[in-house]
Amino acid sequence: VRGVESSLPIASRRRFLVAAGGAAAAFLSGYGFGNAASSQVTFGPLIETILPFSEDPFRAIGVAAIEARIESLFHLAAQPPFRASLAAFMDVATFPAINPVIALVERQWYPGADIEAQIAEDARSFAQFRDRYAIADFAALNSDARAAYMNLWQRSAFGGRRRFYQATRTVILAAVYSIDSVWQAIGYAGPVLKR
Amino acid sequence: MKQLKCDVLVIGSGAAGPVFAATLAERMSADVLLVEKGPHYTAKFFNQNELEMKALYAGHGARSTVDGAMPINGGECVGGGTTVNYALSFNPVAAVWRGWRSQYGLEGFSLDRGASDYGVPGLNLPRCVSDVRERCNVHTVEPDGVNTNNALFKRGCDRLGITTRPFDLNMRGCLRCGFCGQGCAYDRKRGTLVTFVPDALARGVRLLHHCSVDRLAFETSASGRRVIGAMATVTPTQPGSEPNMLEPGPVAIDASLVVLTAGSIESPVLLQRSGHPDPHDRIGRGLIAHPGLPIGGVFDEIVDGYKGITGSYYSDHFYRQHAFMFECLFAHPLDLAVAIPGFGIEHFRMMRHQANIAGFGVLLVDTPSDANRVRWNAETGEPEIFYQLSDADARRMRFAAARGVEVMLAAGAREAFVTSDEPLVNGAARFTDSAQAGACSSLQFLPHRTMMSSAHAQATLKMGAHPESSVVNSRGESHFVRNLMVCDSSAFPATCGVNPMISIMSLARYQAIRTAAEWPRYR
Repeated sequence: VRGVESSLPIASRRRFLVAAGGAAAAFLSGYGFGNAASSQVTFGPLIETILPFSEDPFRAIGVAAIEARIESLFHLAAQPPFRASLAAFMDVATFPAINPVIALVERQWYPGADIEAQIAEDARSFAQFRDRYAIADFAALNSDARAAYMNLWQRSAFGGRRRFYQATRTVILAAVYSIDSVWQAIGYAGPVLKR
Repeated sequence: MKQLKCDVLVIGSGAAGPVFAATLAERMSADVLLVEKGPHYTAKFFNQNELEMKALYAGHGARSTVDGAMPINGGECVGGGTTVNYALSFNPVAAVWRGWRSQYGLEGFSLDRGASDYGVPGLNLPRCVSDVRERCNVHTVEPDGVNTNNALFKRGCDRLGITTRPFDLNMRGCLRCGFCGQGCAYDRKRGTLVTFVPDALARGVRLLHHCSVDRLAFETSASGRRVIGAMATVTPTQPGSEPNMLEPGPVAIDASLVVLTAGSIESPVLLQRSGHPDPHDRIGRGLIAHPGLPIGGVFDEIVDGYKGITGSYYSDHFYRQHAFMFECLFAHPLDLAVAIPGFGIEHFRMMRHQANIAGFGVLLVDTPSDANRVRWNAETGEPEIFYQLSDADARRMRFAAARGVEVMLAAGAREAFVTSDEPLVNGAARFTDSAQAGACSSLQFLPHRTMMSSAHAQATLKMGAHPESSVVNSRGESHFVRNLMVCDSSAFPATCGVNPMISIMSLARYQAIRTAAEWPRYR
């Protein structure tokens, strides 16, 4: 992956990217709602769902390089809450079981939250998903099922689940829409300042 | 521990601090220390790279409400918001300031150019506004600087009989590169970084950047409590920053007068962690955010909305009755990709046609609520920001979104969209016919589903006559701690009603002129 163009020394560039990543990671790890012990999960299947690898710029770069770039920018490995949440996301079968942490933060963020109704709403969505797709770990789902499962998080009744969806999407999009070859593919000229 | 002594400690170098420091140094002989939490970057650092220049923003662009749903943008570098904004320069709204005087019992802030408030010759709000506008070269955007995105916005409004106005911008000799949000690489945007900061330095003000103020130091005596300085930490200088005046490490600063100009998130949080008295639970309460909702449109023609002057036109057509504006702005790909809802091939189809996308935003002038607030979290050491749209504001935002969709379609968009994945029309927030705009009435503004953002935090340390309902008086002085002043956006008693930069700078200029004239109060 080609880095971002910069006249600054590489060491300097890395330092403020690290700083930027630190903040993004903090944004991601508002809380963790999975089992930290099972946090050794790969980010790849999520990247494959957010980005269409049928398309040139992403196919040319490849999932592994994008995952490496996300890690170098945002240091997710050093964010146990995020890794734990990622593990919970991957474990599709557990979707209807609302972790107490999700309910707890929901009450903190939104004092009027109706937790019981929200649990029921997510259970209904999951039942529809289960009618169409065989339940398996996220990585083992086909692309249609992955997208449908991602929609469950995107449209969840729980703000915490929606946050995980948006935060994950944000780091993936930030990592690729800052790469020269992707800029070229979408017709963005990039910095006009040449130093 | 290092020790610094000064007469006046000014905390925060955004829109307010440099104006206060430079004006005070212009009006009197005083030893002024201006401190800034962020780095002192200058034009040579601004490389126009969207991701790298997140370094100029608070939390590197990730500062948000406590649920992570609404970005609360602000600059965190010398110049603050004036370094990263789009140069949109609105005069203070006379009716708003008049209303503050009657409603909150404010003294001064005369709107008569001939007035001499506090007995200080020529001290009045309009004179301060003129001074600030002149120094920052505020002028109306030139007609030949209007880019396609702005021309489309104006066309849509014209066709619907919606009035538009050209923005006033604080620029000089703008090269129209379109990278205001990444810091002006050419020093053509006239924020405080290139105006009042150099003015202050030329008059002997010292600038200490990379300096986080941990807490204010108070002294209690028989005559009450007063501030005597601050404890701070100087952090290592970031690469690309100007050199600092001190090595990293803790520093104790003695001052006769402390002036808070750290913005509406950091100023209240500093008071909270300093243990400033708050018997009526007012500190941080009633945050005004000016929530923004982007309206997008896909056109057959090439728009290239990021090229040229970003904002040339706005509309205050609905302002009087519904208190919102449309402001024409656009984003570079990273922010655009995040704003466009969804994922996978559909998301990429939109991004692949980003050159065909036009955009502007709704800026809602929100109504105050005590539940919207900033609170220091002692455990994390970070501010927590709580913000939710009231029911009445949500109704106005729905109305505004519908009008925005109509404008975009009238401009010729084949599809208009709102940055939301709520199911409004055929399961999405996309519109191909203006008859569909009414579907905006079912927008719920669900956090993480409808993307709003804020860049105008205000009113968290309100001025007012009564300690029960405000934190500082009309002079910006704390009701509870002597020689402590607040003169940034947090001192606004309510919304200033427009993009706040010039209002903040004018307030700082006003309070500095008054402070110089009334200096014996602070000895």
